[in-house]
Amino acid sequence: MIDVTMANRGTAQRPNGTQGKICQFKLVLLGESAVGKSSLVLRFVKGQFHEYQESTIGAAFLTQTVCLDETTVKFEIWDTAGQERYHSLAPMYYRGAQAAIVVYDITNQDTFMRATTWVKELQRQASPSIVIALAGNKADLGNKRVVEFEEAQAYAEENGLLFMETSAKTAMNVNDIFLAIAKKLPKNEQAGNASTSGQGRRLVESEGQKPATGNCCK
Amino acid sequence: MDDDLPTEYDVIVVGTGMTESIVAAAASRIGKRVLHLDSNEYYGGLWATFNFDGFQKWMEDLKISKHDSKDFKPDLENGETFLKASNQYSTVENIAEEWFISHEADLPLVLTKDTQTDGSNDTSSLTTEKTDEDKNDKKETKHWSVDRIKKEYRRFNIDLAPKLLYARGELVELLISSNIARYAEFRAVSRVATCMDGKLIQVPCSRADVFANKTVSVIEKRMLMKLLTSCMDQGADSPEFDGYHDKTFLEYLNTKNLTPIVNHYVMQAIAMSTDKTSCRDGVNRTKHFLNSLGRYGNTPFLWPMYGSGELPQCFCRLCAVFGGVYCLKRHLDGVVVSEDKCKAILTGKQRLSLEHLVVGQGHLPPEIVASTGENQISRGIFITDRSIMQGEKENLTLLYYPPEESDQEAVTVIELGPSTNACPQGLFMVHMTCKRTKTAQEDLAYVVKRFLCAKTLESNVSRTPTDSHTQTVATDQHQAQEGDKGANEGTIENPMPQVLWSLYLNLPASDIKLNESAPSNIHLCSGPDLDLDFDFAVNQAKEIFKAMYPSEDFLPRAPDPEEIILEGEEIPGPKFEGDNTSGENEKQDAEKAEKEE
Repeated sequence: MIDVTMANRGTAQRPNGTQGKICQFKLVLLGESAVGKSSLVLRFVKGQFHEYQESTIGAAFLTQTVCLDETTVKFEIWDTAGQERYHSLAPMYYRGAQAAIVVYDITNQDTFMRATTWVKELQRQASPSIVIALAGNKADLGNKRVVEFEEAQAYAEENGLLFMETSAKTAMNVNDIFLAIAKKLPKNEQAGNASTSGQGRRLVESEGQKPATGNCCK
Repeated sequence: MDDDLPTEYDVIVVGTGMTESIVAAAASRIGKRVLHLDSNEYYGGLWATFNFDGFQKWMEDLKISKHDSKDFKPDLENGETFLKASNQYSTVENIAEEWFISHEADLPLVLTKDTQTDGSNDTSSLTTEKTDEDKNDKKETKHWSVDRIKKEYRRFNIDLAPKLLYARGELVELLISSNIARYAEFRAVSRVATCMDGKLIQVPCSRADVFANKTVSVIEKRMLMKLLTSCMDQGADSPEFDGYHDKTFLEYLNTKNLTPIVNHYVMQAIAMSTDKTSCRDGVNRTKHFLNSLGRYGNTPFLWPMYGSGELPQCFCRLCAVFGGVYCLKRHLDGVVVSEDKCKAILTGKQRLSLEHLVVGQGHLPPEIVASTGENQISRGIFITDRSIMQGEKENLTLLYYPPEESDQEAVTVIELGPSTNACPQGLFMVHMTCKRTKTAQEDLAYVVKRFLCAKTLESNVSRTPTDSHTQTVATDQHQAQEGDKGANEGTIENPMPQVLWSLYLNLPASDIKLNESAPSNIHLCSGPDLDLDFDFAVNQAKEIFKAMYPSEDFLPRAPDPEEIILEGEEIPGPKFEGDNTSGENEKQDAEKAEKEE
């Protein structure tokens, strides 16, 4: 990975060209409470793990970059902020999301069932081109496993999902799953424009005085 | 899953409408323990936006008699009274839905592109997708049928209460200052239209527009600029307007010796006034309009992508991010009052205690309501096959249409194209809103008749596909000249938009008031109002917050992701820059608020 200066939202898009292109994508996490959604993000973004990770507070989303051959993929990673706890996640959460990781806990069958419901919900409500990955987390707890690898893999294949078992605790497959998603995302002109995700305009203070600028590429 | 909620809160908010959601976010942001409930399974209440399927379901649910909590006897302590919640102030009336197209596509050769499988195309992006569809249109002349619209339900976003944002209005400033703007995306309204001599024309908004415009003379241009400048610089309190305090805006304009066309632009498009509008209101509206110009596009207005219903959800997310607890499908049974204070609410089998109750008008116990409000709203929603004013590209249009007869109300028309995600390529979504006098259908009939063709489409009539406006062009990079040309051609050459589907409904009044006996810690949030923008809700939320926490900041800026430092983190990751201290403070503040598990 390379160090990339944060591109401010709303700044002009880089000149066309493939060298050193930065694509920004919105990635949402879904899954039952306590399956390790936040832990996966913290492991990926900060390289950390806390056994007793508290519910995420104050973090609207975190960002992390992944470097592919010619492209830098910047993920804007959205956490559920606990709204899933009473099944009250707002649809705006997955608006314009280009990628999703649906997480379950391999030691808890219910969380896998719930994950399949989330996949259906995404297929129904989210952008049709969304890249979905299924993550069987807590793979370090293999002795307590109740969801078989093959079962989840078969389900993922049927539904065209990326699939990996992960462990936020040992870091197993954490970077890999994000990298796999980054590879699968389209890196063309339209996708990953730094100032837009759903083709609209975001409001930023600095833009205030500027005259009208184009809000999409063409 | 255990659905039992924690039982003690600083603030309980019932209803996820705009005002409720802003208050919830503001309270959570300063570390208060917030519970936010809604009896519906969706966010927004009467401010919601639905896809086509969701909208149908919403209508179905209205037919089923609402949750009627049996006369249950809650356990009360001495001196406590129980007031049962009622949904009588959120009743939607006179729903009339009509289709104007055939049920199934009559051309069997038509291959409707399966939207579900679009994602399998790895190179897919919005542009290629659109191009493909445009090609399909040309090759196969796809027709819209009931089935096809239902099948593509996800591509529709239908607003119950569509509203715009002034680029320098209260809501835009709040979204930016609170950093909630990160959650939402917008489109600039690309043209403000007005109807003159039976013809729709685009109103020149900016200085450049005014000077590029060919329909007004140089003298008129100077006249217009002079008038606008005096409204802008001086406002309604300036000596310029002395002596007009009791007069109408029209009376003021008449003293200016304006030509009819300039008078028309100012009255109908810029100040959105009728001949009854006061001079003060007219000047202030003109000022608001002009102040908002030049910030985000060539009109003063923004539209939220995916619909107005996104905005309450943005505030809810911020509330949740700072520890607010969310529970939909949770009905408020009633409130427990003791010694002029609301102490708790009853919901499900739980009693939840609180310091403040913030409640949307759809959940108020009738005992504490003083007046039921007068300003009810008539709404019309139309899916059409072309723009009311065809241009060379897709437009997002605002039209203010003043009454033709004295018994009519002025109607606000907002026309949305596919780039707002309101509807699929090839279609438009038209929203009409006015003050209710009769039923929505009767109130809006004169405007529908003027701009839309709401007759059943003969299945063998083939209408020319409308490709010209479906290209994706930056809506803001608009030249006034092009627009004018397009408009003129449009009205001459093109037939009126065919309505494929229409829906009328009446929304309840928003100007409900609490009575004197209402406990002082119950705060009422209004439903959608008649104004074009959200400022009423923002100001109401500010007032409620100030009444609850007079010395606290209202929605201070939330940290950016780069600023967030998590506990136990010793070395900030090399990729994260920015001011860490503010993030830390906010984190600590937020932790105080945390009351979960």
